[in-house]
Amino acid sequence: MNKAIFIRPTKAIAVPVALITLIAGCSSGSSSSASAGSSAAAATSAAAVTSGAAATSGAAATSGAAATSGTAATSAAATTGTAATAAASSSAAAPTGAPIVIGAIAGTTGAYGSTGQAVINGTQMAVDKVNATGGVLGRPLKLMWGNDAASATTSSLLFKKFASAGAVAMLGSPDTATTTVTLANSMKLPDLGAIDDGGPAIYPDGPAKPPAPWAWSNSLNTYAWGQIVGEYANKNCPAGLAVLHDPTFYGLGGLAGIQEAYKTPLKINAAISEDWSSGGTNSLDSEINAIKKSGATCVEVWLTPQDEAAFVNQAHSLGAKFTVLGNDETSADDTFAKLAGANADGVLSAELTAAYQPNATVQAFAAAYKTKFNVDTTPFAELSYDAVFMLAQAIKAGNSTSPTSIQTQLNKISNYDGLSGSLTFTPQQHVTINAAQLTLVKYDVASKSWKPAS
Amino acid sequence: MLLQAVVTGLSVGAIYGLVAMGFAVVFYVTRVINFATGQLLMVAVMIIAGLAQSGLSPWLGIPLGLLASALGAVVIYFVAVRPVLYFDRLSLAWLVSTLGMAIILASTAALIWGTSSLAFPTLLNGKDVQFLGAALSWQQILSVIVAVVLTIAIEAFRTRTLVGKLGMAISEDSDTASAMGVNVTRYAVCAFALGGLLAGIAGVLVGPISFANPYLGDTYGIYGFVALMIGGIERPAASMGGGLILGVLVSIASTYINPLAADWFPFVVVIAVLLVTPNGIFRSGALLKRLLSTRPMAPAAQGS
Amino acid sequence: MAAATAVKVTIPQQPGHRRGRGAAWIGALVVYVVATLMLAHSSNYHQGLLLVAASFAMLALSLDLVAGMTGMYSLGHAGLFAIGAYGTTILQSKEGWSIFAALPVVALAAGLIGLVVGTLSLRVSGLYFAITTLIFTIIVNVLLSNLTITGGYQGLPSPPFPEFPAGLSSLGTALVWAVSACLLVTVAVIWSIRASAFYPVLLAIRDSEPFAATSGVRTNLTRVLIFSLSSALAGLAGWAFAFQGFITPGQFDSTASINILVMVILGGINTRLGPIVGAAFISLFPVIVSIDPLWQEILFGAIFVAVIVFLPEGFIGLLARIGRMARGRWWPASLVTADPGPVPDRLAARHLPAGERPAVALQAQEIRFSYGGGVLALDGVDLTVATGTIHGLIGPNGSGKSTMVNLLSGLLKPQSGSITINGQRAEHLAVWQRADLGVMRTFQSAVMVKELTTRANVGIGLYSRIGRLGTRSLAWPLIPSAHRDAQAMSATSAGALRTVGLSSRWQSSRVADIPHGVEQLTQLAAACVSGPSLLILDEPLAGLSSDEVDEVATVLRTLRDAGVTTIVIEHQTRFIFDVCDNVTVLAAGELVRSGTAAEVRNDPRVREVYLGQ
Repeated sequence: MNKAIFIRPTKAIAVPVALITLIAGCSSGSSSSASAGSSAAAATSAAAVTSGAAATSGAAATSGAAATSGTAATSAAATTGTAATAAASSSAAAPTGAPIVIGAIAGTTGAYGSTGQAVINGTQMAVDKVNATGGVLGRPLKLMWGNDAASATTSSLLFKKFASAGAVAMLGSPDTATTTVTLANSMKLPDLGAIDDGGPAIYPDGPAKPPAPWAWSNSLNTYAWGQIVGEYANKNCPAGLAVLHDPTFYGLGGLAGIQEAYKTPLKINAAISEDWSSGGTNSLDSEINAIKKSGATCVEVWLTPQDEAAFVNQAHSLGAKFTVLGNDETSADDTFAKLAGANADGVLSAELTAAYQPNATVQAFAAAYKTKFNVDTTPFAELSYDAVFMLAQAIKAGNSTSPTSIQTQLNKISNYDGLSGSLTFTPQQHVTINAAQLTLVKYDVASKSWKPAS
Repeated sequence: MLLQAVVTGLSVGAIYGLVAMGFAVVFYVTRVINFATGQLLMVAVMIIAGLAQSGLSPWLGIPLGLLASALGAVVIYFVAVRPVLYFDRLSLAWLVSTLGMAIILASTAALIWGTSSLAFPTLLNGKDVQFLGAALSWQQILSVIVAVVLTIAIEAFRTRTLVGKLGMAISEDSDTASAMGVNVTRYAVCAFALGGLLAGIAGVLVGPISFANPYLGDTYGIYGFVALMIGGIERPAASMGGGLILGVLVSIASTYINPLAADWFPFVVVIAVLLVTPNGIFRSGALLKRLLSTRPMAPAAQGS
Repeated sequence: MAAATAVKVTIPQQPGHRRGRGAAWIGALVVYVVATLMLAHSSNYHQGLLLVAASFAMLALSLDLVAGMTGMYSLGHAGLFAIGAYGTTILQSKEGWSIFAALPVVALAAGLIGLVVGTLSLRVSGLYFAITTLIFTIIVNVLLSNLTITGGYQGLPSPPFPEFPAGLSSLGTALVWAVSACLLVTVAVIWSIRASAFYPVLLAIRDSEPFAATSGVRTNLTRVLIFSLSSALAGLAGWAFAFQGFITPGQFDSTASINILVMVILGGINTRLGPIVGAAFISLFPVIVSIDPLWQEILFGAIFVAVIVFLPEGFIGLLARIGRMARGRWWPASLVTADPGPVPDRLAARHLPAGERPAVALQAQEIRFSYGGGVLALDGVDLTVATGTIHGLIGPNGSGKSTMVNLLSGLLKPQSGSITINGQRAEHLAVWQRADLGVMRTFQSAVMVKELTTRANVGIGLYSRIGRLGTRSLAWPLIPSAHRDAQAMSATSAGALRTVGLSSRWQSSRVADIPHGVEQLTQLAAACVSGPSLLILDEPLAGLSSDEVDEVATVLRTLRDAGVTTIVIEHQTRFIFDVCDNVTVLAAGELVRSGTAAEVRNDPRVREVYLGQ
């Protein structure tokens, strides 16, 4: 409503202030971006990409009309968009009524863009599925998404953009969780799905204190992974454990989990600053030599898959023989295994039991995902898929899209049978994954796969 | 411990230095800093990794990758630099246009190969050697050797051959040089190609350690730029010196302070040195020139 | 008093013209306020866009002040920006300060830090200035990433921004008004400097430091203070940015610093609107353009290249081109500026009464100097110049003439020896202090600011005669004395150009567009305009036609008759022996002969070393 008031007078006073003109320009762009976003979401293959771009330029050309005629025009466009995608997957009755907008924010470019792409792909699959099976409360879901490129500034603007477009909830971001969680709390808008890698973003004051009231993470939980590898080290690393960890919440959450399970003082505890955006790896020679000197035989490398692969390769070059422990990203996709090659043999990690031993539903999802996007599914796609369905369930249960109703209902979801496991939220528990849902695995280079470790 | 830190640092610094020389040879002739130099490193890395993935031998892939880096640099010259110089030689507009090329190169590579890292042929990595108690891989030793050889070759070319000296004349006054019949464009093209080639060589050396990622250029571009700044921009050899210093300082910081100190320690040292010798580390003392000078020094020169 | 009346009499139309311009500015201000009001009632998203675009616009404007106008390519602005943003957030959330109390504190803190960084960085020049300031950003970034109080790598949530009290709630979101006011203040300060008589001085510091310094400008101090002002504005931008949602170290890294420079260049460096347009484009493009992200990035890069290749002056170059075409078509008359009238009395040449002046204007004794401790360029040279004479300084190439005038004007300091100017010891005085003693000089090479008119360039020469230009430039249009001074400077500069024989058609030409000879005469005008007591001319005839040479001779004689002492270096010996009262001959850094023109001309040694006979 505010927006409608805003647009007309701005157009009326025309050009004198360049800045204002720019902002007016973007206001007409924002209503078209939703359809552009959802059509581009599928874009992974080159062909799909070009069609996505074409769709946008078309939408942009007509955006003036859409903007002036207001909500009716936008909703009509969105309905046709979703109907088209729904028709492709199923023939159930198309939902009618005003769409329920959900926003999704993830970094889909940069060296870790594949994680963000998986998040968006999984979300898109879920939205299509919901719309193909009658929608929510008889209304279709409409996905607006954006690439935050791991920038807090962009993330914050995207959050406000989607919120202003009427989004009832946000998904993500795996890259700028602190921003999305902070805005969710201050704007009182639910944020769920792939929020960082669990842990500290949700529980800023520690896992025993209340969680962020408006954020629920379906994401891989570094704290749980830390506990699993910490327990392993307790039993199997008599000569001591060295930890190299990322200095952000990702590494700090893992470190907290390890120290929860592994009470012995660490032989080495070093923070390594990493280059998440460019994928450049650190020269870890100094650390490898220091660990050799310390006598520790087990090394927990809580770094990016690239850095972890560089570590095992370089350790091999320098003749060091360590038992290397991984983290939640190590086995989430094949990045680490591919880069480390033969040196990946014997590296330990943990995997979601649900993903590791897929049931029929997960297998069917994996097949559909592969068909649609021509890449293998990852836990990030699956947990994002789950997040959409949990959100849909909360809306249905409260029969309302009001944020407070969604908040109340999300806190009541118990044992939701999702792709990533049996998932529960309570007022205190805002993270779905815990150590009990994980299986310790070890890489076997002969079969190029992760095998149960114990 | 110290020896280990220094030799490790030299091997990393050699890479930074090669990228910095890629910046410097271009600057030397055209007075332009090609901010896509890091991305030219990435081009070689991605092409070699991509070809290796489809089964091509790295010994065929490497020349193709280096060629692509050199050609990419020439394209950058014609698309993003030449029109700018034509308009105003002294404006900084090339900063924006070469950064634009950097963004285009990285995003195009991400479109082609995806955003995740690809494996890179191992080359000499994985074979270690003990050297006075310090452990190094052959790949790292190769980096240092290549860096030293290329630095000496470029310095000799620059100061000993007519073509190299003309390059110097162009950098000082391209209008006069062009009036004297020197084909300035040809020199600029060669400088860009050589700059791209140096970045590509750095890519081949670092690929087995860093793997192949479309965004890799950001990291090595920044490090190369900082190395260039430390060493001084006027002479390619000095920029190699800047790279080696940066590498050693990073290595010493992470060995003796902590790994995070690598983010600040080198810069604190550099700023301290710059404040003492305001014209650049190698400007006033000409330390590196003396170290790398291939001709025996005349006694008189030593005295002064 | 007399000056003020003179100005009023000569420009009768000016007040009306000014009133029209004032009305236009008030109109623009009203539009700005209305736009702010509408944004204050718009969606969260549009307010977010404004907040980010405005913060970066302020930042880019502050960078343009140092990079575009003063030639210091700072890469430290992301660090200064961080000080504003983090300072505000920490003062509010950890110390419980009001955000409004934090505003002046963070701006002042950034300004002071800028003062220190600027002072240290200006020890080095050019590219090394860029690296030291880049390292400043890197170090700030490392501190932000590793300190507990800054929230480490995660960063800190924004402080809440208070809403208007109930009575004012119709104004909408208070934050929008605050950000809008900050942007307005920044724009006002920067545009005021651009409109002031201080602007040509900054450009002279950027393009031609010796010219600025010999005109009496304390160039290093000015640079440091401008950097400090720019830093304070960057801190102010950071204050506004603090409310954007969440701040992390990643927003303030070295890439961000380079990005700010990109905003300035892409928009149009050293233009009024360019930095604003560039900042809005770069900060908003990734959010507004919703296409496949990789294609979006490729498009982003392609726009960088296309803009620079087709519009090398940036986005604003297009507007400027259209503007020039429009002006040429519809208001061609405005290109020819009206003659600003006679020289006001208070800026007329000032000379001590003949009786109070020492008989010797300049005495240099036993001057020794070498470049970098090598061979002596001057070896015990004496030079005595009598008041009110024209003194020629000649010698073959490498004889040390130029070194001598650089020592006299203070650009170089002698290793030993004394220099006395108008009875005062001067060898330890800085360049700008010698300008205060009435020493002015010209240079062999072209030193004028190319993008300014000849008249504006000549005005730089008046720097030492006009008080507090720099301070007043911050609110130039609002200060009545500034208008009077601008008018007086313009009239005096025009008078000086007339005096050196340049017709009024050259007065509004940019130096870039004029022939070399005219530029040389403009230099002469710039040196004469402040009414110097000692004028030093370094090869003033280079590139002049014979008519112009005669003109210069006439000018020098006129100045002599007015009591000015002149030292001329020149290769044209006929001119020297024709015009000069006394002549000194140098060869290989040593004095050969000094005496009257006739004596020197007939000295066989002079003929041998210099005339080659």
